[in-house]
Amino acid sequence: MRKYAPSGGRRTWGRILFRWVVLICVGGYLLLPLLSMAEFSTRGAGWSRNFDAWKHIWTTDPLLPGAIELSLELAALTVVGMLFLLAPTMVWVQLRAPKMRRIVEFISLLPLTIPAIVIVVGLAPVYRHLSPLIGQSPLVLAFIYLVLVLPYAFRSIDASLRSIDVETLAEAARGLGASWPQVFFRIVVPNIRQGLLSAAVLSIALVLGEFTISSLLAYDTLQVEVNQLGLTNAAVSVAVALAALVFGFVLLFIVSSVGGGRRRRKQVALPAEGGSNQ
Amino acid sequence: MSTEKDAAPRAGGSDRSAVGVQLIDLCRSFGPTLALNNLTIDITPGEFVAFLGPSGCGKTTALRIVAGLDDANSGQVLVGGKDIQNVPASKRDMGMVFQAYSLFPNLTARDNVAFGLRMRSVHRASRRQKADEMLRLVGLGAHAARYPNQLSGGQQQRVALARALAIQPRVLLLDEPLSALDAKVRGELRDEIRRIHQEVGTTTIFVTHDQEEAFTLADRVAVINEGRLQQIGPPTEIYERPRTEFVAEFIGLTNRLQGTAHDGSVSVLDTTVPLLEGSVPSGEVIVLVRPEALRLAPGADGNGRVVSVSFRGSICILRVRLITDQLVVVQMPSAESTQFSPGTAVNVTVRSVPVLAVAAGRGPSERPSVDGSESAPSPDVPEPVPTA
Repeated sequence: MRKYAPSGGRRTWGRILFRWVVLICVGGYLLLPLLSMAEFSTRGAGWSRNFDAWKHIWTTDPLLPGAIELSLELAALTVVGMLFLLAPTMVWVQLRAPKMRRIVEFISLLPLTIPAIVIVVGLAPVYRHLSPLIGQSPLVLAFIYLVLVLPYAFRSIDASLRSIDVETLAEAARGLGASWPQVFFRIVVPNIRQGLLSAAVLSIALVLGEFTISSLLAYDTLQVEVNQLGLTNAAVSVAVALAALVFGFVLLFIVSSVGGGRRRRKQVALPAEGGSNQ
Repeated sequence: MSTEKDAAPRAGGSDRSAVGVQLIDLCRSFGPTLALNNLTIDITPGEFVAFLGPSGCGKTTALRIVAGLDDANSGQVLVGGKDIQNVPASKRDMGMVFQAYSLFPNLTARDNVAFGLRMRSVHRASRRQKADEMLRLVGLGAHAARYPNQLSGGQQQRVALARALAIQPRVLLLDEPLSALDAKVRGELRDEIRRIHQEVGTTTIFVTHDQEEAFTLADRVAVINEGRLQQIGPPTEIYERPRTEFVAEFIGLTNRLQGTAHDGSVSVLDTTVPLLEGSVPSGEVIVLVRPEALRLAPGADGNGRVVSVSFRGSICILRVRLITDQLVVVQMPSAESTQFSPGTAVNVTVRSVPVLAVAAGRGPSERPSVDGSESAPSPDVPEPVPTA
């Protein structure tokens, strides 16, 4: 046994080294652009550093606060719409019309295959016809975003639904006297909560980062304003972009903490039993 | 205003006394497959009936129709004499335990048990008290605060049983609740189900493909095949007096021996024994004989020779090759088997018990039974069920 220890030790060191190399490469790939943005947005005269660009975020472009507000409203509307339309549809399909699942999946994944410009060209006439009914509010963008987030939201919710035996749980709940809404809200939703949260986070991230459609339809969302800022003040534009990214990370962290926290509490409450079947 | 009330019945009836269940001419097809074919079963109040049959025979479909989780194409389900066809599952007041673990993962054991009571707007304190009582009934009083992922499979099924009983169901439906458990836990939980039924007295339908479970638990066993009721009766009757070839072969082990039927009896292995109801009355027949209905006697001029002796505790299983080259299985108390060893010449006769005779020329229908083929019976054949 002792004879093989050195080579085993070498393998262990090799693995550790490999992990660090991978970690540094991936970390560098992800962090370098952010560090570059931070460096650029704090660059002063000569080699000096200052936060002027960050301080002027709110003053350089008077439209920026409105754009941020609009993007957040659109994100909220999109998430609400997605949760109220997609989640019940997917649960219903799984429980009552499993043969439709492939069709729903196909439709949900379609936006991935259609370029944004094509979506805009296709939807612009629809918007023109609908504008007398739905008005000119930029919030109507939420309808398009609802379509755009479908593939990501579908995958998140679908993964959660597949991790539990929805049919049996629903049948058990029905047998115990639960109505369909009670089955959905008391049994299904709490058990696919993580998937719903993931879908919400992805939707928020997509909406906050979306530029093409809002730009083509001439709505002043956050990314459109950042782009505009870039034409007049590059440093502020980069500062805003970095701030938006950090905001997205914080949001993601909060959501994942909320979802994970409940699981951890359950596991900490009492230790799981051993392997006994008794 | 207080919302407190008892776990009141919903589907008609206002009392908690046991009710009868009648399945009348139930038919259900899935595409071209006929799952239920005019299934008719009458279950008396408080009775424990097991639906027994091979996989795909329709027993679970029947149970799901009773629970309201599936709809029959035709036929009726009467509970307490009332047709419940149009009553949704949520209002049928039936407790069901599933084969798959069906506890709600987001709720503790106590909250799982209390779920049905919550749906009935029972006051929080009352449902907590009832849930704890039910958990104690299934021996899990100390596990009330645990989540399903902190419970073993056996414990989860106990909680599921407590949850089904907490609503004081009119009918308790058990859909192979033990099949996912290991043998030891299965045996323990089986005894517990029987004890709880005796204590609670709820009319119970238990679906299983395990005849030992069915025989141990049920007051009556309904043997189902291809969507039709083959026979229903007490376990001893099902075992000792099978009415169809399927029942004879599906339950326990059966030797298929050639014989000649005449005047309500049959001659087989130089013995004349009475025929059971449903037998072919005359002519060349195949006689279905239980291993314990065969008798061995040592004798050099006998009609067979012992091939193997298999010790099974209190009983022994002997395989004997007859002079006709048929292989038969004989079961006897271990104490009597000491005089036999492989190679011993024996004389095989049939005890004077009624047997079922079927038309000659038909092969065994479903389960491994011992026939006259050249090949020896598989050593994996199920344990013969001792005569009760």
